[in-house]
Amino acid sequence: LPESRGEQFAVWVAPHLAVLSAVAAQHIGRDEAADVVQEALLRAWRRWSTYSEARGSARAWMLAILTDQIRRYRTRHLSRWRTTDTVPSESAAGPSGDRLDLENAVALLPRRQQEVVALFYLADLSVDEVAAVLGISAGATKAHLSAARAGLRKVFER
Amino acid sequence: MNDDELDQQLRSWGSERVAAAPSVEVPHLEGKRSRPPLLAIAATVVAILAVVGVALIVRANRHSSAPAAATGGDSSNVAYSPHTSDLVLNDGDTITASGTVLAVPGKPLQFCDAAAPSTEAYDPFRDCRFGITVSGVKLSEVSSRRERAGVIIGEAKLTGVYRHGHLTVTHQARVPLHVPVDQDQRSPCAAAVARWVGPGSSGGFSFGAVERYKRSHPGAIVMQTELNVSRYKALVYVLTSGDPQPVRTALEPSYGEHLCVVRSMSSASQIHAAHKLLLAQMSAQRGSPTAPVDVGGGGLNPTTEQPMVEANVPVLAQGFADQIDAQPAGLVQVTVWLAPQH
Repeated sequence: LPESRGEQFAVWVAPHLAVLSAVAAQHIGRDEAADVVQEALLRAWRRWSTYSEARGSARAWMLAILTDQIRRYRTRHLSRWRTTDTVPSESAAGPSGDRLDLENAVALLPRRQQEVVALFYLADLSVDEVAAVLGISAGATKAHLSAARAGLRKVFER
Repeated sequence: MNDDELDQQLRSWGSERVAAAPSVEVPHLEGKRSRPPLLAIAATVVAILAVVGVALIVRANRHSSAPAAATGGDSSNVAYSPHTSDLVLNDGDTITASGTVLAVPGKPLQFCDAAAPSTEAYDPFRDCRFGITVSGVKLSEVSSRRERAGVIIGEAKLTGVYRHGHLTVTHQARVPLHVPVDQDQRSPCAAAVARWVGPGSSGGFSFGAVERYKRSHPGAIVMQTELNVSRYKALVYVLTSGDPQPVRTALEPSYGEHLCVVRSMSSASQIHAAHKLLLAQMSAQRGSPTAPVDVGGGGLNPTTEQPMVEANVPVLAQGFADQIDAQPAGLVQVTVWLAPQH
C-alpha cells in the first residue's frame, strides 16, 4: 500500500494519466504533451486536499486543471501555436477520397469544438462534465458538439 | 455518414488516441508540497512555534491558500482583520452559498457546507459536516446529482433568506467545477524581480544560508519562504522582525538577485497569538456553526505578502468577529460559508 501522501496521489491519478496525455497531445502535440501534463499534475498535487468527490469525478477535476494548463501553454507560446494552427488545415485538405482522417478533421474544427470533442470522445466525459470542465452550460456543450459533428461530416463528404 | 456512424468513429478514434498517448509519469513530488488540510497545518505550526518559538518555516504559496474554494464560497465570503464584521450573519440576511443538498426521506432537506473534510472518511449520503435546513430547492436541478437507497445528494449554489437556521431559497444555480488557478505572487521587492530561473522550475532554493543566519541571530527572522512571482521567476522571501538591511547584506552572497527581504508587519508573538485565538474558538465552540472548521497558519496575505493565519467558519458570530478585528491588519483571514450579501 502507498504510504506517503505523494505515493497516494500517484496511485489516485494513475488511472487518468493516459487520458490526460491523449487530451494534451490532441491540443498541443505529442512533443509538448508530457511537460504540460506534468505541470497539471503538480498543480493538482498542490490542490489535492481541496478536491471533493461530491463536486465531480477525479477525471473531470484533473481534466479541468489540464485544460487550464493547456490554455496557459497556448498563451505563452502564442506565436508558435498560431504557426502550428495552420498545419492541420493544409494536411486535412490532403486526405483523398474515402480515407477518414479523423485526426486532421478534428484539428480543422474551431478551438472550442475541438475541446468539446476531445473531452467527450477522448476523455469519455458526460455532457455535464464537459460543461463543468470548460465552464460553459450543458446546452452550449451540446451545441458545440452538434456543430463539431456537422463540421466533421462536411469534411468527410467533400 | 449518419450521426451514429460518426459517433462510433469518434469513439473508436478516442480510444485509439488514448491507447497511443505519449507516456507520462507522475513528477517527483518531494519538496513540492501538497496543501495538507488546514488542521494539519495548524498542528505543524503549533509544533514549530513550540519548538522554535518564533520562526515559521514554510514553503508558503498563496496558490494553496484557497479556503474559499474549500468551502464552496466565493471571494465575497473572505475578509481580513480588521474588516470581518461585515461577514457576521443575522436573521433576515440574504446569503449566497455553494454546498451539498442532502435529501433523506422523512427528514427536512439539508444544505451542507461542502468544506473538504480533512482526511477522514466522509459519507455525504449520511450526514452534513455542518448544515442548515433549506426549502425551495429543485432537486432535479442540482449538479452532480446522485442517489443511493432513496437518499439524494447534489451540489447547488443557493441564494435565499436565512432565518433561525433555515434558508428559504429564492434562486438556485449550478456549482461550477472548481478549477484551481495558480496566481502569481507579487514581489514586495520592486528592484528584486529576479531573472528567469528556468522553464518549469519553481526555484527549489536551498534555505541553508537562511537557517544558518537564524541560528546565529535568534529572533531576527519571522518567516522564510519561496515566492513565485511568475511561472519562471522565484525569490527567496525573508520576513524579518527588525531592520531588514543586515539580513539582506548577510544573505545576498547566497541568493543574489533572487533575494527579497522585508520587515514583517506582524511579530512572531502576534502571529502566535492570532493562531491561538482561532484554535481556542475552534475548541470552545466545537460542534457549533460558529466554530472554525479549519485553522491554518504559515501562509501569506495575497495582497501584502505578509504573514497570515486563516480560518474557515460556517457562520461568523459578532463576538468572534470582534476578536479577529482586534488583530493586526491583514493578519487573520476568515472565510465564511454563510455570509450576508451587502
